[in-house]
Amino acid sequence: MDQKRILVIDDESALTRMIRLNLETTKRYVVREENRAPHAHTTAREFKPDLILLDVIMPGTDGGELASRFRADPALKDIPVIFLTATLSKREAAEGMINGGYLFLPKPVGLKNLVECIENALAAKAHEHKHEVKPDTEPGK
Amino acid sequence: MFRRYPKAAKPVHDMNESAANANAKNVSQPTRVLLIEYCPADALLIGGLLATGFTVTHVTDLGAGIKAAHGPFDIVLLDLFLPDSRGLDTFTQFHSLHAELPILVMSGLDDEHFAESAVRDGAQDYLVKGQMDEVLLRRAVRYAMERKRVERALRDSEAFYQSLVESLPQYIYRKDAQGRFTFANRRFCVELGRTFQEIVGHTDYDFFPAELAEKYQADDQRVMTAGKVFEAVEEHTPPGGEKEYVQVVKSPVFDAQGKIIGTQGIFWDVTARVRGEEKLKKAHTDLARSREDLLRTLADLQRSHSRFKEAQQQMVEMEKMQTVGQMAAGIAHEVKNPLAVIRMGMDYLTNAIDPTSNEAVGTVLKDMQDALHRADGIIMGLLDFSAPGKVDLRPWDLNSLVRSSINLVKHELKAAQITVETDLCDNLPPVLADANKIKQVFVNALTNGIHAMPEGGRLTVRTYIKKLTPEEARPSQGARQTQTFRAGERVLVTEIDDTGTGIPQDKLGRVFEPFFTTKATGKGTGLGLTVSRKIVELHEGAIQLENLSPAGARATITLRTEKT
Repeated sequence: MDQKRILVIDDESALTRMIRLNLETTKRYVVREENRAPHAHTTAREFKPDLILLDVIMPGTDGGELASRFRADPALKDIPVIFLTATLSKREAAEGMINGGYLFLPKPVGLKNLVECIENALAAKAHEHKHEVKPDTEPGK
Repeated sequence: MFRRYPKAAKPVHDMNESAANANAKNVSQPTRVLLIEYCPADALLIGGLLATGFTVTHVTDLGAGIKAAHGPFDIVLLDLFLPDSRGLDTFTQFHSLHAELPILVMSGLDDEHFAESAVRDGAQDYLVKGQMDEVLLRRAVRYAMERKRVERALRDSEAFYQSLVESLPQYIYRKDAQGRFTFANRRFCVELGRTFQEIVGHTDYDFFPAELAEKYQADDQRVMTAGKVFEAVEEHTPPGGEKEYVQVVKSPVFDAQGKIIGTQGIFWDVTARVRGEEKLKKAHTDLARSREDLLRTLADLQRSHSRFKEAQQQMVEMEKMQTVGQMAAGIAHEVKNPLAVIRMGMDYLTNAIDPTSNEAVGTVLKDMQDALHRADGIIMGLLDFSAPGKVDLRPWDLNSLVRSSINLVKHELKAAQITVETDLCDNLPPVLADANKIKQVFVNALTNGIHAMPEGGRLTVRTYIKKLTPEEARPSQGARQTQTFRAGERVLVTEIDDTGTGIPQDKLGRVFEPFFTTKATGKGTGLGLTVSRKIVELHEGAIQLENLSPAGARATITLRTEKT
């Protein structure tokens, strides 16, 4: 099976490690961790991920800033980004927070839920490519 | 020509003479008599009659008499027919030059009328030659002297009073029973612009306008009738002048028998005094007004101060809320990341170790997952509080929301041995509410009641609709409402009463502050009422806490009905 490349950007190394280990158990993903937000752009260009899991609050450069840089970079602009956030309320989490075309997942997230979201995002992207639709018109589906 | 008669060795005094003389001069001194008598026989006779107790100096004509009278004499015996003067003229001449001396006029039988005229003009007495004896002469002399002395005293007294009346700065007059002036002092004359003679015998009508004269006469009449002093401050405005004030004292005048025969009045200008009093009174009023203004300003200031304090407190609370919000977000981030690690770690372990292979491992993992879920729930709650609020207002049946809330705390009620009584009004209009959020408010209020009754007790929950009075439309202490209700608005009220410990009165104003709690550690977070308030505010409602008598507390939640 074609393994998808997932870049996990979070300053919490234990979390990125746990995500990597968990995703790797599915054998469906190749996971790269990046704990230094300022290096994340370079890492992304170099790793060429199929999807990026991005923490919101990080020291130095926060997730929102990184996401807009990725969008501005022609090499990265089409890569789906899923935000992982610790600041979602119960209600927002239940509603599945979508903001600016990005999907937000509340921490802590279980593996099952995470894989579902990743797969949905990858599928949506494949669908968009097929129909040449802009990436942010049908976000997170 | 002077002729001196010998001084008597021992003056003879009868009782009358002595009494009459006692005040005039020392009894041991002989009376010094100047005798002006042309007829030597008469002179001799008189000298003889006055031999004892008198020193007689005799001259024979008026010119000599006038000259001699400058000497120290007590009395003058004056014959009207002298070589250099005859008749009444003799007296007039002498008297005009020596008015201070008592004069006893002597006349013949046929010219007695001259003597009488002299007495009218100021002589003290007269004697008819040929009809006098020693007793008569001596008595006449003494009496004449005494009369003169009394006259002098009277004149002195009159002068004294006249000087008093004339020099007093008051206007003084007297009137008879018919209101005619009988006296006016100089000041009064000047005031009227008339002489004394022009005033005496006239009435007020001759000097004042009829209206004023009438008043004065009426006042006089009153004084006469009552026989009492009348005192008043009267005002009058002279033509072209400013208003003046006069203090008037009118009193009745009595005759010797005590009969009222007229009135007398004294008045003086008190314009300056009255103006001063008026100024003082005005100053006093102004002062009182200033004081009132000051008190009003003070009250305004106090009101502003309390409003300011209230605003300040709200600001402090808002800041606290913001701090709490930031804290909540911070805590969520800091706690949720480790929770995320644990969650992922557990998922990894669950996959790595087949939980079904080992029952204990399965149980441990399940317990850990439950614990994680609980911890996550708490953090989510904090985020709920810090997240900007939005409510989804829909019409609901208030009583259903209340019943459902009671149902949510039924385990706690049972554990604490608390009974619930409900008194829910039927046929209420729908309440506009976010059902889950309002239930959170009810649950919080019920939980507070439960916590207030650790030994068990009773919760009473009632709902009703009411029209707000103007008084109720204003917030009171312990009440929170952002949107002020209108008087007359129909609102839905939910009351939750407990029979517990109540809230200390001094803490009542603070119960809605974040992290303020009266509960024991571990029993409350200090956020329950803060969150409740926020929710109720989002509903544009009001929540109020008050103590009940004799015990317990009441939470009142006022919500709006569906707008029609």
